[in-house]
Amino acid sequence: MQEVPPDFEDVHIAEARVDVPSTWRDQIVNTNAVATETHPLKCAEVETQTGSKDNQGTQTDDAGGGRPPSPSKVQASGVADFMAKVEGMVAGELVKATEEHEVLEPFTRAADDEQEPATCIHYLSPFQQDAAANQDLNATSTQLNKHKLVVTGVSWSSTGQTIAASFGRYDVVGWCTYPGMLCTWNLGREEVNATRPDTRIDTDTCLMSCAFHPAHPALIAGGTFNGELYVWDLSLEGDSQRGRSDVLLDVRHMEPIIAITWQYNMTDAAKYGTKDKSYRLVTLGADGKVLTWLWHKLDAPVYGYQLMFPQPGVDRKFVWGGACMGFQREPRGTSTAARDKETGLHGGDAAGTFLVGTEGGKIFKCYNDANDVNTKEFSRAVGAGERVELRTPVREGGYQPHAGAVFGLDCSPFQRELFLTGSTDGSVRMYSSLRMQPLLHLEPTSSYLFVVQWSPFRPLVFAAAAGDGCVYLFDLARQQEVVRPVLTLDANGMRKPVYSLAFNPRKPDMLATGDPTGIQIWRLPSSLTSVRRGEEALLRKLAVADDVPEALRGNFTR
Amino acid sequence: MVDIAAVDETFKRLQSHKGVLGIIVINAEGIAIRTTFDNDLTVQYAALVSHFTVKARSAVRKLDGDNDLKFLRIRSKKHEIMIAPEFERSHEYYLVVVQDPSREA
Repeated sequence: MQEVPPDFEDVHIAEARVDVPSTWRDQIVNTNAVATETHPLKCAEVETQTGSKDNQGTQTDDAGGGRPPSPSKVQASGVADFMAKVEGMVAGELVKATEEHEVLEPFTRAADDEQEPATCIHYLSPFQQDAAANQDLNATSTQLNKHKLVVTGVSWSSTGQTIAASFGRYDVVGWCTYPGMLCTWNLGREEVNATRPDTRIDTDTCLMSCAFHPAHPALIAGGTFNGELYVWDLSLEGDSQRGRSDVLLDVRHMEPIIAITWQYNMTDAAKYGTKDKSYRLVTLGADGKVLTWLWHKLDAPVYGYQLMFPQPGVDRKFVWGGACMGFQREPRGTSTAARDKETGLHGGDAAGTFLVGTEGGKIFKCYNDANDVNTKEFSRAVGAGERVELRTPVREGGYQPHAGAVFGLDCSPFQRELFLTGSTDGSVRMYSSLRMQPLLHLEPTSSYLFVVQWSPFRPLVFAAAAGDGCVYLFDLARQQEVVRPVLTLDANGMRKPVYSLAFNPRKPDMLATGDPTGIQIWRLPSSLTSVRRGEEALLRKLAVADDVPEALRGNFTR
Repeated sequence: MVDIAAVDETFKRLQSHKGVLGIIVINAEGIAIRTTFDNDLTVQYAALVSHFTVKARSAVRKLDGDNDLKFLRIRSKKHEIMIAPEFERSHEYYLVVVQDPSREA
């Protein structure tokens, strides 16, 4: 087959030219510039006015003299006479009403026994709930609670505006490989985004506790599962970490930090002169150590104790694992606290006596006697790498023990020696630190109790958070035959345990609870927030009563 | 003027009693002529209390034509409301005192 080349030689592409006549050019209308003008506009101003004005009034005649037309005269003269006449009667009744009220108060109290409910005003959680997360594929990894973290602690800031929550897990065995975190929400904002915390700080291991500084609204301390102590300043941009304990030091917590307290210290107050640095941190670890720290020098503790106490029947001393801690507080008696809030607040926590609940069910009264001399010696020994023998702070351990671990303990803010304990045996007890037997023994539930706390405003009100998802609120001012909860809050409706609880220190009607699903902020009814007459007196009476249930009944029938 | 001062004195004396929340003087038309409450509360008290008092008085008078209402005291869950009426034709007034006896002084 011979290939024939195509024969296009009669066309030269370069010279090719095609003419296409325009289809639109001849349709364009020729234009010319032409000007035109209107006549000048004519304006005129015209005013007009009416010729005359007139005001007219009308009035009815005096109907007949019975009541004079000007009432002010009557009011002035008549009222004074009238007032003089009835004043004595009214004054007498006012006094009588007050007296009667005092007598009848206990009965009316019984009569209005029905309790207004509390309302959940915020439900906060940084995670999407499980059900929703399964459907929502767009959820980012941070919004999924893949490590199944639960709220291990809640704390209100000193202003009562911000709520912080620590996230961790209680069911970790051995080494903790789950990251924890700290989240805060400012509830003072107009719109609170329930799923987006204002700050979110991630930690390497589970965060087991947190506590806001009692005077500085942005300082917060947190303790992790590995026993590390952090201090963050939330007002700092970027990295908010202010300090972190040294993880390689000999003297440190080797187990989770269970409780953190900011403790006012006179020496530091004098030394630093600032409100923030007047407070020391005291931490309790599950390893039974109680360590004191300066939050601005967090590398090493300034003093430490170990909870050593003999086991019954054995003469050797054992280390007891701590489970909760509460410092005795100077009563904020109405006289000082009301008048001088600042000193009441600061001086209030200066006492060195604190109570510790242990995993074994025992309760210890301890004394923090750290002073300049022994803290200096302690710091020197730690700095030199010497082996430091930790002393025991226990002064009294004979309190009748609970049958289960004591996870909740709180000292009354109004009566120094009174404290509450809550245990996994399901009972709440009120003790006086001066007596071995509990003053009051309550069993609101058969499940575990994780927290108990006194109301910071009502001397006779306290709350207990339980493993059945309920928070039980008691009001000793309203008890008759049997002391039972006046109000029960169902935190999650799923019977998931409530691990943490905090009354707002500034707003009497706010209560925060934390459980595996998130944080609930409750508004308490006024019956639980407004102080009743003689409450503090009754609390004082209870503290020395031989039979508290009897004393409560006596108060009722008085 | 002297009268007004005297009335104010009385107000002050009554107010000094324990738990007194407020005092109102109402005239026959149900209009408050002197009050320590804010406007809304005053108007409410004035309207409701004068109606109530007239009803109470008519009940007393219907039972016995010679009798008359002297004083009314209402105990509610929160307050004591005391009403001292005067039914003289020329000057008909009600003095209302609201007290919360459970209040700490």
